[in-house]
Amino acid sequence: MTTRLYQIAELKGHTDRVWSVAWSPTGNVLASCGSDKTVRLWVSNSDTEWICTNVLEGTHKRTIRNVAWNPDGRQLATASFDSLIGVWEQEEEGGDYESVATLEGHENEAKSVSWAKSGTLLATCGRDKSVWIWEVGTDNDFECLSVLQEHTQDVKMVMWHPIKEILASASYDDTIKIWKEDEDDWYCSDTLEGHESTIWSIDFDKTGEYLVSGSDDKTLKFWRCYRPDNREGIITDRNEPKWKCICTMSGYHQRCIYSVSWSKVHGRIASCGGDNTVRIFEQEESTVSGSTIDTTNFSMIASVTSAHGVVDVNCVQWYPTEKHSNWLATAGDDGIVRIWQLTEE
Amino acid sequence: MSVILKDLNDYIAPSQACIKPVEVKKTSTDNNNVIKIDNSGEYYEVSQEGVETKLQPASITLEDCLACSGCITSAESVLITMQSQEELYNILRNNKQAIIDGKSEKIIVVSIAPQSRASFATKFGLSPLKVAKRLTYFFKSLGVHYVFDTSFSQDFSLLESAREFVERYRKFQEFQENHGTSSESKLTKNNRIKRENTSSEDATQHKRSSDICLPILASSCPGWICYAEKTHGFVLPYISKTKSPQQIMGSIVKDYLASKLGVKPNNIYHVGVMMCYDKKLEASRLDFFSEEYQTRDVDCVLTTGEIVKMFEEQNFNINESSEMPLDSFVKTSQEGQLLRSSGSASGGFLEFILEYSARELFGITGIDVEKEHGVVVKIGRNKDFKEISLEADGKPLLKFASAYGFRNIQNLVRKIKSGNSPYHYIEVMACPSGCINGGGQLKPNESLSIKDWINEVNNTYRSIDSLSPEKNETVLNLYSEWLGGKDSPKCKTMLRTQYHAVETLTNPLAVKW
Repeated sequence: MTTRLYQIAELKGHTDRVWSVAWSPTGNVLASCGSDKTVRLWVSNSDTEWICTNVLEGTHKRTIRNVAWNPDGRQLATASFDSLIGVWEQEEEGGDYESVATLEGHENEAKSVSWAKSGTLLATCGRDKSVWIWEVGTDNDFECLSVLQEHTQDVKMVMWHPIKEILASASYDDTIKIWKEDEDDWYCSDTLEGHESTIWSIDFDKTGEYLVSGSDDKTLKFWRCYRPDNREGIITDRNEPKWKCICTMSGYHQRCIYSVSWSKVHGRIASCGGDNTVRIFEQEESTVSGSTIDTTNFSMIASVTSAHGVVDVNCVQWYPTEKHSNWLATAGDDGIVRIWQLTEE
Repeated sequence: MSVILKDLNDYIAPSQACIKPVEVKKTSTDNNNVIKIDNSGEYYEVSQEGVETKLQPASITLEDCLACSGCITSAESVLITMQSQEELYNILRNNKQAIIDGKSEKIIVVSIAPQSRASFATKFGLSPLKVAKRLTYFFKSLGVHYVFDTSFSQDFSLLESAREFVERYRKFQEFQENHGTSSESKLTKNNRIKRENTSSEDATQHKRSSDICLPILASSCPGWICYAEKTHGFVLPYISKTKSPQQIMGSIVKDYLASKLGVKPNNIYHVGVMMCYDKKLEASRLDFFSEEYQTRDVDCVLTTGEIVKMFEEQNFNINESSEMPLDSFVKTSQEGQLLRSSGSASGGFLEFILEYSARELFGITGIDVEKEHGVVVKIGRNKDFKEISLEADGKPLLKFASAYGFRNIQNLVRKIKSGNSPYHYIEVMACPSGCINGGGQLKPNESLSIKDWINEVNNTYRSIDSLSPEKNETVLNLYSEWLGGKDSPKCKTMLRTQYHAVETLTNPLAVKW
């Protein structure tokens, strides 16, 4: 039995490169954003027929680098090179989206935005090396809770833990940092070192116990969270959990990895990058029994070369629910958003 | 130097790379020359005839740094090289040589901040008074002539800030009455129109002249001022025009003391000992530079940590040091005990202004903000945001707040921009925990957490008795003797200043993905 990726739809409309795609929490809407300073929302009538229902524009004066849905599905946040974070809300079902807040604070290019599971916290990051945590108040009043400045370089991506209020950030300083809140402020509880170059993308598995990272060093790394007094005997400090790399996948991507996505439904991992290729990995059954160190392995089960022709694939995202859990959306420098289906034959 | 930079906990971090376009003097107009680099990294321009001319490295001055919006930061490395103990040593050496040569020496004055004094006292286990007397001994044994205390000039700063607040509050009320809005609704609403236009800074509200802008925002934190000037021009009219304690001491030294001693301002070298690196930036502002005498009100600022380095360089042990009596511009009681002003270790601005204006505006006396008597105190989302209001019959008369640290400054700036600030006065400080936790302060021994350390230094600061600035006789006398009364034009030039928005610099080369 082989596993293959088929393209099922091409979504055309952006007039310049597409940087990011994001499925709404139910999967009913796909948002995409890019250098044309717009966000486009896409809905499918059938598997192959997609229409652009909304174009969100006017707020950002430069490239929109990233877009993220509030878990309530009503709001979207955007991170732009114009340094602003935009928050958009749909007035009524089927209606227009309007800009309800713009968050100023980043000194220059904002790179990524992420909503916590509860929808009450928003994290942002950017070229100014900072990570910001905002509290979502009533009436779209956002309050800055913390400005975290421990990364020594450009912060490429922020991603919340799927369950807890724990944030991960990935940086040009080759590290991933884990952030938590204590009684008065947020602090860095762990720094994940191991990648040899910029980390462009991170994603948690559905439990939040594992993390995957994709880097300019062409590798994917899998990390596992070990609690104090773990039975594997991993040493932890200050009573904080410790993240350790349990697997490095090299020799697959030939160039920089720009994006990773860990399906919360079936646990497969998708990655893409500068080699124009989309790859799918799957966790193998545990191979060593009785070992004190987790030796979980991953293997590649499918790939598509030239997924966006001869250009970079900037972003990959698994469909979020059971309904089409084998669907993937990708964004490319060709200005096109593509939908793929993973099939077993 | 990287060690010093690493330890800074001011919120302002040096930017990734300086992008200030630097003007370099061209040595020739011939475009066919080539540039050569030798083994030691020196650059030479080689003309077609083969003549080599050494090129000057481009350098960024402190003034360049202040005038540039390329990064929010004060490039600390620039500051540290331009205002250092080496510069003070040079002045001291020149003085010794001048005496040998029979020439006139410079008068050297050192002004110490009470927050720095508290940091020394906690670190070395001494009382603030002993620290003051021993620092006086230390500096005078090096050749310094006077050692002052900026608690003294802080009293001017407090009095002037309080007067400014009352003036502005009354004008604000008058404006509201003439325009038919009650002050309450103006402060809290005023907002629907603004919201749709939040990024437009020239909306009418911001065009209002600064003498009716409320809230007033404190001006003594140079990190905050620098940040506001570089990124939030619209907020400048709200900032108090009163000079900081450091800069008022500058006026006292370079104007009053100079005329008393019968010397020109440029014959005095004035050193500040401060809790914060950004005080160096403040001292370098052109507003505090005399064109006529080509001199700054404060010539050089050294941080608490840099003074400890001087101790080491001079083999000075403060724990076994002799003591010397205190000089005149030190806030002391008649018995010679050190005094402070009531309130927070960031200077007590909020506390004094609230007590003063309660009396002046509403005839309410007997409140004590430090002891939380007669006011309602509310701690915000975090410990660095506090709301303090004066109420009558359950209704707020005056609403003050203190906002420390970058995260609270962010929220404050957004509230003011959208017209959502309910406050009349806000004590803004860039550092979390305020000035007592300045980037130039001493660090705790390893066994102690930063939090406990700050508490200890804070307690040391508060361990001395307080005296209201209105009861500081020396200050009151100087108001009449030096300034010619509290409403004189000289008060304006000596005690108040202004701010300048820095234009945004757009450099397409600075863009990165």
